[in-house]
Amino acid sequence: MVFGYLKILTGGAGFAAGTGLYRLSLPSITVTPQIASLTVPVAVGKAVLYDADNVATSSNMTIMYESAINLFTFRKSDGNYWRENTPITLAQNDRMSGYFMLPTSSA
Amino acid sequence: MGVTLITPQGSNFIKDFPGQNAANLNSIDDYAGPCLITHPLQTFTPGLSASVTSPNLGVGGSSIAYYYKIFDQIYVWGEFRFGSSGISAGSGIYTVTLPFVMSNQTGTTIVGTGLVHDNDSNAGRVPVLVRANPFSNIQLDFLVRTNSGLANRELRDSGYITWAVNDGLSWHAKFKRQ
Repeated sequence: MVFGYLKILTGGAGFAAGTGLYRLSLPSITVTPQIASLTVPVAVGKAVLYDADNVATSSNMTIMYESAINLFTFRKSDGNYWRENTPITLAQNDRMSGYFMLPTSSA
Repeated sequence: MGVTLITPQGSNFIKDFPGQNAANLNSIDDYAGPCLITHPLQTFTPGLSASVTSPNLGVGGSSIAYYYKIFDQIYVWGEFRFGSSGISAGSGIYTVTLPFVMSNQTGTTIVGTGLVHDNDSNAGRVPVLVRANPFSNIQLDFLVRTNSGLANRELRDSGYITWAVNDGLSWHAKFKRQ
């Protein structure tokens, strides 16, 4: 089993938000095939997105493990994905941090 | 919780010790869980029910979970899904049963997170908090953020979610067992 802690800090200059929904790769682990057998992406953790310009628009998100693509995705409180323009337009000095827990093949 | 072990003793210590020692080792194995001897991931079927009338997951519906039992710490990932036909949302607050009784310290605390899976729409994929059921220490329930954003209420047959075919819920939790 792996516990992980995530942190992303967008830089103070030269940051580009990109386009589309945000996904994160996993560390070098092999998730147990039983989890992949679940029929929907499984909630594995929690994250908070901190808006450097306006703390009032900071958001909680649920971290999802999507076995079909072997990546983490993030679901907002309205159910939709975190992406470059929602819940905020990601900009310089914004931050995301969170944790996850996943079962691994190596126990 | 700890392990109650026998202090080996008896009229014939040489003869009695192996059996008493084996009993102690079995107690330690039972307390530690399968992590000492094999891959610790285990599976169980969480019983989904509602406070008035239990839902019917219908044809092809399922409820499954996987867990680690590591000493008195339980880590669990689960889901339930309604099937493709013959479903009924039941009536009342949804709960799922666990394979272990939660410790008194767990109380009514938040023990995990989850997400409603609306099969048709992102808008219905509502995040939930997983809570130790205040009325049963062997059940979890799920809290949904209300529209006002000021409070949570329990996931149930209707209200913030209209259950339909192939909808479901994925969740994970961590708690201490008795």
